[in-house]
Amino acid sequence: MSDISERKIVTFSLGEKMFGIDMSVLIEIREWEAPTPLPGVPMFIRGVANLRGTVIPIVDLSERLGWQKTQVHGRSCILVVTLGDKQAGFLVDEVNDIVSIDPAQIQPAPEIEIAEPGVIAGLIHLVTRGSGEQGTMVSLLDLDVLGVTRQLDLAA
Amino acid sequence: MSEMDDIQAIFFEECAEGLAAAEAGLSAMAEGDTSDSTIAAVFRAVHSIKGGSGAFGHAALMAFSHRFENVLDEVRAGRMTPTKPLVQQLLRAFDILSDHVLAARGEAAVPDDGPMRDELERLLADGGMTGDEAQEPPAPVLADDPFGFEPVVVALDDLDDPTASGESWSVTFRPSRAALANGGEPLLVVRELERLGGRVIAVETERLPTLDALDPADAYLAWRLELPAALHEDELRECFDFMPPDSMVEIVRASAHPDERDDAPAAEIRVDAVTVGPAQTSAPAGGPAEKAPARLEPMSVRVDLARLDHLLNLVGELVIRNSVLADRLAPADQEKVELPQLLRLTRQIQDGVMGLRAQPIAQAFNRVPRMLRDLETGTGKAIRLEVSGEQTEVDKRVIERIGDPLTHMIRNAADHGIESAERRRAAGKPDQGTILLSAEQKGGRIIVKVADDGGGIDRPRVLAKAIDKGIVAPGAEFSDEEIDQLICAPGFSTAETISNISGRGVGMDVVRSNIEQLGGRVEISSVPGQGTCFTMILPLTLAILDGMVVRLGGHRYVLPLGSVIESVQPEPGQLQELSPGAEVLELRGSFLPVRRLTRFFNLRGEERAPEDSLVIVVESDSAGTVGLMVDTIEDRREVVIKSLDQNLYPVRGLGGATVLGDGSIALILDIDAIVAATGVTPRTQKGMAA
Repeated sequence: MSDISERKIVTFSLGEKMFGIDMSVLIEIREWEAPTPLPGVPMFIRGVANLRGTVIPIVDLSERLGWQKTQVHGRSCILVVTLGDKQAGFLVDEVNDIVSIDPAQIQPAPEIEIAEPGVIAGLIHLVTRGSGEQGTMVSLLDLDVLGVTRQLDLAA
Repeated sequence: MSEMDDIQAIFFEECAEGLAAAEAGLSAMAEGDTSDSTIAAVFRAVHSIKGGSGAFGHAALMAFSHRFENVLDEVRAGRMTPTKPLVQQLLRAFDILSDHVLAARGEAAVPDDGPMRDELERLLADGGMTGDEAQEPPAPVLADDPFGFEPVVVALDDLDDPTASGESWSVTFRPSRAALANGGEPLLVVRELERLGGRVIAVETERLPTLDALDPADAYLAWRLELPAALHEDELRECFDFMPPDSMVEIVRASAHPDERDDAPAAEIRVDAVTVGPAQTSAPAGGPAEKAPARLEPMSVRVDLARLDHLLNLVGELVIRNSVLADRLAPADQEKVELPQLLRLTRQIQDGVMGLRAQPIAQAFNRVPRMLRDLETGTGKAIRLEVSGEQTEVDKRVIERIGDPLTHMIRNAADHGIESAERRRAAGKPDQGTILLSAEQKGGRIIVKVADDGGGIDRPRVLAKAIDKGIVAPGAEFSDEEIDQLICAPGFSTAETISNISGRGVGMDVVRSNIEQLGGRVEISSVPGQGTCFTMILPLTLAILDGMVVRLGGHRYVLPLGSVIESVQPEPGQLQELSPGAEVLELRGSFLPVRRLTRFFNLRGEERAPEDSLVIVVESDSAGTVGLMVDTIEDRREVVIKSLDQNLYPVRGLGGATVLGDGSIALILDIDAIVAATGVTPRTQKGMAA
């Protein structure tokens, strides 16, 4: 039986780094399939894909967070999540696990200069299979902060 | 939302419809249509607002609509003549009624209706004479009455018990001549009914002849009584046991307010009209029948728009599934499984569902007359409104979204467009300005125009302002059309626009973006001294598009078929580059600008040679006829438009996306935006840089 206060986190990797998002925002995980590219949008929007009849944007999460463009490989997949009243897909390198954690385990992100203030909702120290004795650091992301579904520049 | 709120919401929806119907009717009356059906429609509308307002406890709204209704009832019964001044008065009363509805919704303060209420009361007392006419002697209807009998007006309202409310029985009783001869004394009947708690609310005297023609042995009068709802119908009927069969007795269950004595035929349900006597039928009890109004209007069902949209989405999916089947089955197999029949059925369902969303644009137009009356007061200008094509059916979403742009354009026209009476006279125009509001369907498009006969756009001033605001660089050369377009630029507002009427923060740029969101666009044409015309061009349907699927750099795109004129495979040398990026196609002796879509979509690496490409000649509204270079044409099909802003935001150059038969996505091109974006005007380049 899981504790009512437990949070379920989906962990995934971008390159060597581990990230997590709250399970409650996840709609589905799907295989990578090249989306239809859009003109005149930021580079990190790879295009749009068909999610059961609705058109959703596919975002290269690594590129959006300021790292390099993701190289698509066999285990690349798309996390389809809900952001407010919208839906979007995020390209990630690999989905690892679903873990239940005690909210007390989440440490606030230290106040350091990062490209996207607020996107890291907290840090979790996770000891899992294969992560060795010392465990891994997982950055819990708040994807809504990235604002990928909002038009950044309204000047046009 | 509680159930009560739900019901209340329905009431307000009905109010909105009622107001629209009343205004349409009153406007028609102002135009001279005083047919019975028009007047009855206005009456019905106001009456149902009153009924609902009573039920929901909107006392102020009910009190006002009640007075309004009384006057309308007089007009309807022919006791008041709908003269021009009277109709104007009614229109003003209507405006206050709308304010009351707003107040009941909590969207505005309760209006001060005192003067108008007094005015309505006075109209009732004077038989429809508006202030100008009230002094004239009333028509001498009794001129040949040798006794010189003067009728005395008795305000029956005073007799009413204002505290009584709720349901009641309404009994109308007209004894026949035989009744008096057989000792059926009406007075006794009336007393008996009064003993049961009833009271006389009206005596009909229409049949009363002049005194010299009066036969004392005949019965001329009819009484209308109101009795408590608690009584059983049989108790009432018993009172008429001694009335001969040819007497008229009507027992009606009347709802709401006791003052509703005159309106039973219109909105209440006449449960039964029984002639007392052997032929008397057993009347149904009043209760259940109330819910079945004897309306003549077609039956309708109220449907939540969200459910309609859901249905539309499903139909869209069905259309897609159909094309999947069509893609996967060989023609022979298609016949075997009767696919053509399925396709036809699907198309019919699709048309039907689309039709459900279509509404006459009158719903959006109906609010204009009132606004214009306010504007006339505000500006001191006399303005006539001409409306045409209000029955044009458009998508419900267009009606929802077009309201604000329309409001702004009408305000613009009244405030800036039409000149003051003095200036109009000096220009040799009639004092009264005219605003023309029209809608029509042209091919797959809806054209909505707002035209005024005012002074036209003051181009030097607009240009000066645009330079001042930094929208354009000083010294740049502009055509008249480009200057006109400047008023749609974000941040543009000429100094004089800051008035009470215009300049409420909604600029023409918002108008333009609203219309563009609907997949339409705004055109402006203006002739100095003769007026300005704003044309909104909107797609007929917002959900399904007849498209041409083209291939370009490995991707598929959809062009709206309505814009496509022809396709041309360029011969070597037919395409010439005038300057870098600016190419023209020589086509039958004329030169056609050609845009390469690969450049627009940044697919430069995959560009084909012109000889291996196709040029699709399309008609764009902003730049005339242009050619778009694509790789091949793949198909022609109906596609379901999926908006990009549902999960992203609108992307310039795209009208949306669609899901093709194989489940992949094709982008729908917005030809005007592409042509504008690859054009060379300074403003659009600024737009592209963003």
